[in-house]
Amino acid sequence: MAPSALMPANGPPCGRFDLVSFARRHGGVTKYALGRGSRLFAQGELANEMFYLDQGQIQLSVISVQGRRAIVGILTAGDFCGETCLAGEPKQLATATCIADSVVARIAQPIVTRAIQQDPGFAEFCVTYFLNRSARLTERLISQFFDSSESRLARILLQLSNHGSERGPTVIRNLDQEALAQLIGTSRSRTNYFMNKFRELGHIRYDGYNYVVVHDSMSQVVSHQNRFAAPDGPNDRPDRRATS
Amino acid sequence: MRRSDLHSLGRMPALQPPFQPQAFADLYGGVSRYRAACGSTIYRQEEAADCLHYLEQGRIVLKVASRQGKDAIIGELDAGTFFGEECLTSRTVRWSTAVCAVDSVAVRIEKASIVRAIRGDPHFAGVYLRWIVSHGDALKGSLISQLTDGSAQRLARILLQLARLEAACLEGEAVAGSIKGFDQEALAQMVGTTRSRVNFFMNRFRDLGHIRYDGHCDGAITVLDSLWKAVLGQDCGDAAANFRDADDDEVLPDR
Repeated sequence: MAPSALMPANGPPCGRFDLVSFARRHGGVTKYALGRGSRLFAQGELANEMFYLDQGQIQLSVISVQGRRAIVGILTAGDFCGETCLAGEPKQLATATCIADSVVARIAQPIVTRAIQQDPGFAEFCVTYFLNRSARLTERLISQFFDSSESRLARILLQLSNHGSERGPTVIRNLDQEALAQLIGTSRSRTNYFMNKFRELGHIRYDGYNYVVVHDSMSQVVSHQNRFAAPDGPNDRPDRRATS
Repeated sequence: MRRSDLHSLGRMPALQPPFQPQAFADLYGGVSRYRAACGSTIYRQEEAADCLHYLEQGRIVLKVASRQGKDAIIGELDAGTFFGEECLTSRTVRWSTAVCAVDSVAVRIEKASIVRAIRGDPHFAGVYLRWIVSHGDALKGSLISQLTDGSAQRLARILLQLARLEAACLEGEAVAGSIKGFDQEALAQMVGTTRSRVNFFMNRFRDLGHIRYDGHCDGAITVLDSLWKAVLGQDCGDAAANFRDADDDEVLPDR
């Protein structure tokens, strides 16, 4: 497998996981195909396996006590899920459902733990990979605190289409407006309103469930209301004018 | 399946067994211990992230400020956790400002030492990875709460968490806990709502006997386990509706 460099200067944040050489080296990998709509694991189930998504798309969703539904994340080929077993958490936090035909590799938790102990390259890869996942979650959380639903939608569309990442922009597939609404915590009707607005402004092209193409111009929607401010940084200080 | 347990709201998990800074320093160097008084800032948002920190004693909150002048608290941590992990990601500046909520003792670990340890010591890499994964789960919990809870539910979760009652509530053996050093403004920044709405819900919780406080900003708040059953429990159903005020529509209000 290609060991990733921790925080390389310009390169990708983490290399791709090589399933074949992992299986050869550590064993215990079961690879299988799953159809769209099939479920990998459910919220509250025992967490004792990790999954690697070789092909396809997976949605992680939760239902609250009050019956509200939210989508925690959308995983694409090259992503891991079920990692909560590494933290010693006994239960799955979310339900993982395939939203496209997928090929998944199941790795039992003891195998992953042993591989981390024996293979420094794999350990480093995991640290980098999960730190970057946390960074994406932090970004969404901050967006949830500060942004209007319009900019949250713009941000999630940019994130889902891999804008600004080394993978290069891709087309968003298999996500309807209901799913987009559950990703940003708003209603479907508001999502619809903003999707139409973005389309009219030429930021996206879309055809319902089938695809959403996000154009570069979408980043203007979020960049011109850049939310970050250094509390005591130079940007925030009022211009100092000569008093004389 | 319905979720009835409490998910942690950005509360960073403590390492078990605790990280040993001295042993780490002997092997990899680049460790310095420091004291920080209550209210002091350890690093600021947008500063260059060049080191990792580990909190040995005390409590720290992570604050984020927006250009529009809004403030939010995205995490709070107890002794036994790492923070400042931005230095190891492709993002090279701090997400947040780390402020001590009480007098604290922490260690600063240079990035080069931590990278050396992850590469050279599979045991340390395993321990650190476990922390990263549970940190990610805490972030997911926070995000889930933002996406699915109303302000009253989120406030209740935060009160239970600050009073360290979550685990005991799940076991069904909690009675009461107390919170010091968090005024309604800070609670509002953790919930992601206004101070006046926090005040509204706090008064309602108090009237119903779920919390006790005297209304002074710095006074301690006593939280009773009945709050969990009333606002977040499996059977709360209609009860939860009592805590919804006019601003809370069917989906989360836009802020």
